[in-house]
Amino acid sequence: MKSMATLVALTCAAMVGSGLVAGPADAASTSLAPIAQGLVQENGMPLSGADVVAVAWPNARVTTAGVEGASFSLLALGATTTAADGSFSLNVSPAAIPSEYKGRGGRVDVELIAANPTREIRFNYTSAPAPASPAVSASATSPTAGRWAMAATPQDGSAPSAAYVHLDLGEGTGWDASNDPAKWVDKAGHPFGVARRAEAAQIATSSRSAQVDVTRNAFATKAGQTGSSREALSLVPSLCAYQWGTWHNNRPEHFLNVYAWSGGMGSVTEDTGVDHTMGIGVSTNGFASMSAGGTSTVSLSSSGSQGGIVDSTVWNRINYRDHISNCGADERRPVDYYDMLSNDWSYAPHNNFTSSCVTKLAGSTFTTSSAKNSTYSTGVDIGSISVSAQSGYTAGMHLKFTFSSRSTFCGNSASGPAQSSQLDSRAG
Amino acid sequence: MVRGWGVRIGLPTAVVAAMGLSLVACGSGNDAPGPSLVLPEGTRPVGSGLPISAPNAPLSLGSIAVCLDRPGKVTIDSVRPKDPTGGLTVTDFALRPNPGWHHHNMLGDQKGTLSDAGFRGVRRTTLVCEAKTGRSSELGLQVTKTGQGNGTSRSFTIRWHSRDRSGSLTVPFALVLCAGPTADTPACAVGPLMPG
Repeated sequence: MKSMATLVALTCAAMVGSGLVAGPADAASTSLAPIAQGLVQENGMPLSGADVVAVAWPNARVTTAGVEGASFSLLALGATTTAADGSFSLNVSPAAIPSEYKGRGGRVDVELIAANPTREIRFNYTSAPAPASPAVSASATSPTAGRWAMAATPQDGSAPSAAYVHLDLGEGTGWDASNDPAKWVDKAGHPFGVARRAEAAQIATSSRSAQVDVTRNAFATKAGQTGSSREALSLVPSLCAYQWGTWHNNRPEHFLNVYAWSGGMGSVTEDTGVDHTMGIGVSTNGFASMSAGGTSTVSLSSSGSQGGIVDSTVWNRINYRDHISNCGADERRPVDYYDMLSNDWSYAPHNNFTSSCVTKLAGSTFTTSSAKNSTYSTGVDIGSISVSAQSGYTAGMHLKFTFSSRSTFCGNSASGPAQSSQLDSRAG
Repeated sequence: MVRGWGVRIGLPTAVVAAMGLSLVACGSGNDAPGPSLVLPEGTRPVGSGLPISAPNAPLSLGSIAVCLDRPGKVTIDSVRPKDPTGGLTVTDFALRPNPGWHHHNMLGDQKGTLSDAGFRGVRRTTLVCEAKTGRSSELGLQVTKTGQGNGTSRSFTIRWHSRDRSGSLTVPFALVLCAGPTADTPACAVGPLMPG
C-alpha cells in the first residue's frame, strides 16, 4: 500500500510538474496572465475541490458557415480543481489553439464551467492574447507560455487586464473583476451598486452535466500519453457534440444613452472594428427559458454615424444563433451585426450627473473616443430574457457633444469629464 | 558579484537596477522617494474644439485633473503643446484643488486669462490621487494662437519635479482653436488629432 501511495504521489507530482495536469499549485506558481483564473464559492464561502473546466467556442466565421443541424465540437482548454481558498487558474498557449477557434486578433470565446458533485455554473467571456512585456518575454518564447487579457474594455478605462472570474454556485452569480456588475446600469442609466450586484450578476446554474466529466477525462487521458503539455484538446464529438441551431437575427442591442439638450446635442460614430460585449443566454429546456451566462465580445464589420441626438437611447441590431448540446447546456450566442445605429431611437429621460461639471462655450465641441461606456444590464433582448450590452468608446467609437449654446456639461466622475463613463449636457 | 547592496546580486542585475533607478530619480540620497505627477485612474483621451477668432486672444480651459502617486510635493515647470500648428501656445498655466472634489464646478472653457477664471498662479500640488472622491488638482491652461487659421495640439506635455524626482507627463487632451464662430466644422474636427 505504501509503495502504491508513493507511486501515485510521484505520478501526480510528475504530471503537475510537467504541466500535464493543471492543479491548484499552478495558480500560485504561474507568473503569466492565464486564460482563466478566479474564485469559486458556495453562498459566499470558498469551495475547495470544485471541478473547473474551460472550453473554447468556434469563431464567428465558422459559426456563420455552420449548417443548421450539423455537428461541431468545442475545444477543451483545460481542467483543474479549486484550491482550499476556492481559487483556480488555467492557462494555454495561444499557439495551441487552432485558427477556427480564434477571432480577430487571436481572440478566444472562453466558457468556464465550475461544478460541485451535483450542480454546475457557466460563465462566458472573450479573452485576447496580450503582448508579452519585457518582464515575461523570456517565458513567452516557451511553447506553453501565454498571456491573456479580457477583450471587454475595463470599467475604469485602464488597459485590459486578465480575467479574474468570481463564481458562486450557491447564489448563482458570476462576474469578472474588470466588469463589476455593481457598476452596470439599468435602462435608465442608474447604477446597480454593490447592494444589487448579485441581482445583476445572476447566471445559469443547473444539474452537473456530462460536459464537465468528458472534459476532465479527456485531459486525464492526455496526461497518460507522451507529448506536449497544456495543449488544447478537441473534444470527441460522439461524447460531447454540439449542433448548429436556429438564427435569431435582428435582435435589438441597447448599448448607450445620450443625455443632451438641443443647445448641446450628441453624435455617435462607430467605425469598423468597434467592439461590443454582449450577453449569452443559457438554457437546459430547449430555450423555453434562459438564464444569463456571461458575455461574448463581437467586432463591428462596418461603420455608421448619427448626429443631432437629444436624450435618446442608442441601438444596434445583432444576429444571435442557437447552439444545441447533447452533453451540456444549450446557448444563444451573439455572432455578428445586422444593423448599426439602428432606427430604434427612443426617449431616455435626462440624467443630471453632478460629480463634475464645467461650462462650455457656444460654438465648442467635446469628444471622447477611448472611454469605457457603461454596461447596460438588460441591453440585448434575445427572446425570453434580456442580457447585458457594453461598448467601449474605443478608438473607433466616438461620442461627441456640439454646443451651439452656452451649456453646462457634467460627468459621473468627480475627477472630471475625461474620467467619466457617462456625460450629460444641459442649458446653462 | 557586487557587494554592499544589502543582498548579493549579479552584476547585470545591478546595472539594470541602477539604470532603472536613474530613469526615475535625480538622486538626492534621501530614503523615501518623492512623489510623481500622474493622471487620475480612468483618464482617457478626450478632445475639444473651441472657437477663437482673433489671433493672440487669450482663452482659458481647465478640467484637466492631475495628482500625486504618493505624499509629497510636485512643482510643474512647464506645459507645452505636442505637435502644435497655427501658432498654438500655452501662455500661462496654474493649479488649484479640483473643485469637483468639493462638489463645485471645474473650469470648462472661457475667453480671457486664467486669473479671470479664478486661478491664482499656483504651480505646486500636494494632493494624492483618490479617484472615488475626485481628490486631485485641476490644471488650468491659458492658450492662444498666433496665426489667422486654426491652431491645434495633439496633447500637452507637463514637465514637473519633486524633491528627488523629475519627469514629464502627457495629458491626452487634443485641442483645436478654431478660427471661426463654431468648432463644429470638418476643418476643426479633433478626432484626427486623437489617438487611434
